[in-house]
Amino acid sequence: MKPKDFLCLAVAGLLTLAPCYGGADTNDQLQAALAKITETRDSKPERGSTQIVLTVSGPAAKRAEAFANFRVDQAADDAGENLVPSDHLTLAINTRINDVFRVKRSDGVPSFVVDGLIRTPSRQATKIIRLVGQVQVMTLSDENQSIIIPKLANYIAKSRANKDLASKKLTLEIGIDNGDKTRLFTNVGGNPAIVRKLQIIDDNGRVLEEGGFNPGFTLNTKSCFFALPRDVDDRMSLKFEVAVSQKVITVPFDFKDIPLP
Amino acid sequence: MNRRAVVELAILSMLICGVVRAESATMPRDTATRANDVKVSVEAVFDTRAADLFPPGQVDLKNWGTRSGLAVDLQFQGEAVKNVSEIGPAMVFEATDDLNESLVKERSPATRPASEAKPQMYPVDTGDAARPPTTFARLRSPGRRATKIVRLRGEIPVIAGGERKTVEITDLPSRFGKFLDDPTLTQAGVKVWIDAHKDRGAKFADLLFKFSGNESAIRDFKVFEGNEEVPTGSGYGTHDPKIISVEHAITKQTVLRLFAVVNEKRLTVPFDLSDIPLP
Repeated sequence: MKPKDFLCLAVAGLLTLAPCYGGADTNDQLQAALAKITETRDSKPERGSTQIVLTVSGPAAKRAEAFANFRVDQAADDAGENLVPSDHLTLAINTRINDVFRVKRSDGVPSFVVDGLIRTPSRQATKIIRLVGQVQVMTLSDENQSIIIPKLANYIAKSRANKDLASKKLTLEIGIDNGDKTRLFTNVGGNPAIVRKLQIIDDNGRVLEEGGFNPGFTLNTKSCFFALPRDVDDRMSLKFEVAVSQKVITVPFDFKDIPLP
Repeated sequence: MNRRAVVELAILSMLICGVVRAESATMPRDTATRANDVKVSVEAVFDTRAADLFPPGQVDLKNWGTRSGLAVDLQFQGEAVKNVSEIGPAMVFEATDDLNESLVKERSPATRPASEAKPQMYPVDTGDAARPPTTFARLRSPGRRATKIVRLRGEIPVIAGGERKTVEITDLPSRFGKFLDDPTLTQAGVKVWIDAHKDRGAKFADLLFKFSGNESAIRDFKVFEGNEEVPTGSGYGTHDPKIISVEHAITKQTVLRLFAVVNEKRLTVPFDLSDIPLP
């Protein structure tokens, strides 16, 4: 990668994360444990990597929505190889914002899975002697608030400022699908992780259509599709249900003597 | 039945089973021509090594992420495999590492009964004519101390040649509930039956298909309303009747185009490779 490309990636990465991960707290509400290790060895070594999967557990896991910034400060195998990921891996994968994948623990403690990459150990190595780092988890409050965007037809294919959305660092794009005014799509950007629900309502507040978010791992944009019972008009509004507050928790980890598969 | 008759019946049963088994094991290869003058080489090797580290029983992550296994990408060149349209995964008969461990998977196609051994074929990307066709062999992940695959022997199923033809079906509603009568489909050795769900409203439709014979001769489909292509779901599904969702009502003007291949050749490409370094 050229230095210029690297700089662009770094700036893009920081801009992407800024809305979600402004200030981070460290606390003991969440603990990390090793769950899985997967080496991907390639005949072109630069394409290989090793995935570290952790379970993150604790009371706050119930409200976890996303994770990012899987940072590895120290990693080495018993053959003397440094396994701290390259800047390329860190920027491409480890800083990315991901949905959390919840898992059921037999003791009932709320738990989810996070993952990040390190370099691939040498074939002669038998264990990772030390792995030290941290991951950031975003949790949302249980409480929601509504934001209503009135006169929906006015928003189609236009960029309009809305102070309620701006206060939540949200951006909104609305378009119609293939000229059919009964089929709308919305792209919610900025900080879409806080959005719990999107609905199109009529002037009596009746729900005309509830949009399902497309499944996807990255939360930089949430896309939603609506099939309306009639053409979109000015009597329709878009209703957001968003979490009142969000918090970032830093979960540190420090593991020794991880056996290699 | 007396004792002697029981013994004779048992021996006869074993003989019959033996014969049937011997025939089945050779059937898939008998239907294809062997292409011995094709050069097969290794393009890349990928070793995926996964281990669960969480205390057993506390969290089940068996189905999360990737599983262990070795994949060897193979490419091949030669006159006999020019104009390859489909390739299957390599059927591996022998694979050994330098620790003398067999890397053949327990459920490799070569060790399966013939009825299950019919490989899934994949269309070849013909976009880059300069790039030789490739496929892969799936093996067990070798021991950590192994450094190379000492021997890798098997066969690659290939479909080559053939002529692409378009079958245009007009006035669709009048064809519902019947087999299509078309000389190209007959030539391709496939029978196609179509119908539609009637209750999808004014804007959508579901086309239903049943195939018999050489179903793989049908490579693609498109639906048109007049001259305009109508968006459709991406595939047929796996069970009969197979369903395509169409984002338009089916009318007398709706045209279905089926893309079929006729007169293609089925080949098997043998390979026997040695000393492949492990990554």
